[in-house]
Amino acid sequence: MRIAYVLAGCLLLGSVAAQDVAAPKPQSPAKASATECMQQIQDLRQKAIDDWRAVVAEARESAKNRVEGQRVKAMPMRPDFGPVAKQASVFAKQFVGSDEAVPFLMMVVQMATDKAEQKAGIETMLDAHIDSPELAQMGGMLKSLSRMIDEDFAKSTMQRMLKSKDADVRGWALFAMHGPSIENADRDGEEYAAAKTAVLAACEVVTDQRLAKQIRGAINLREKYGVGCDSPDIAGIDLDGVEFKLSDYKGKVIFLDFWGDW
Amino acid sequence: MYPHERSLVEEMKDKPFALIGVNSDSSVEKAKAAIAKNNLNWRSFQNKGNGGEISKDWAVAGWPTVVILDENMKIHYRGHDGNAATKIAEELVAKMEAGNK
Repeated sequence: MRIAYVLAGCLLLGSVAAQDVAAPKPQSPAKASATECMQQIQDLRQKAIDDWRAVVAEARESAKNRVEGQRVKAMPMRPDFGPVAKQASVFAKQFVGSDEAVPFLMMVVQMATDKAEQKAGIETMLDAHIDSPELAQMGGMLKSLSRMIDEDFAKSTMQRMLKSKDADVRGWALFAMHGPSIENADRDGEEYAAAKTAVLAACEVVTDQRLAKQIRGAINLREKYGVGCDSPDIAGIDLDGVEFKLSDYKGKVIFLDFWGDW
Repeated sequence: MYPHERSLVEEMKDKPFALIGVNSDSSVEKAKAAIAKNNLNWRSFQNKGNGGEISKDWAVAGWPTVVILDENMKIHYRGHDGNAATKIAEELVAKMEAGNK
């Protein structure tokens, strides 16, 4: 009986001591800063890439040392970012209500393999973070959004981004909306003129120089090197090192072919 | 793409038509090997031959890219569809020949 008491006492003491030590522990993961969490995501991403490289190397090796009748391992086309997207989604929830969630949501959208998950990530950004400057990172994605999700969703996303208080967010949306007209509309027509006016106006107020450069580049391309333009001359050397110009062939229909044998 | 272009050059050799390449291979040797191997029959600029980079000036974002110019060097097509490009080139040539008659 006495032994039992002692034992119980020890257990009690032990558990108290353990509690003392362990007490701050469950708190610490929640306290990790957004920067630390993003580092974790980057590490996971790197791991996915390293794992993939290893599998590819192994598959190459198995193909090289193939034994007759033995199957050669398949080569995955890209790393499996599923776990990265999952962890990013956990962190996004952790920072819910704060704009710190946006980079994690962006990761989910970029890396999730599931369309519904991507869509939900975008919806959350539009609903809760529409004025966050971070949302401008979606800009580069907008062009492929109709392929990623569907055309209606892409259109409504751009419309909603136009209501952001952030000039870059609005600028990216505007550029994505008018991009097709800049590329293809009749250059003397109203559609082209309207699109050009709209994106150049956006250019004046954006802070993202990458965006401004893309806008000016698209217009420059269309007005110098696009259909309807008088082609700039090309002066260069041929494969034997002999100088010549494209305009040497003026007077003929020219089929200019950008090619390579890689 | 090679056989199509090669046949086009052969077919149009007596017409007001020129196929000019801009070659982006990493070396002249590589380009010349491709020419020898595939019997390629057109003249090409070296993409980086003159200090600059032609494909960069032209903002070429995908290969192959084809541009069709009329006899005054006005651009009529720019894109990646060899058949569409050829059709436009043929129409322009036909128009020139009709005008000369």
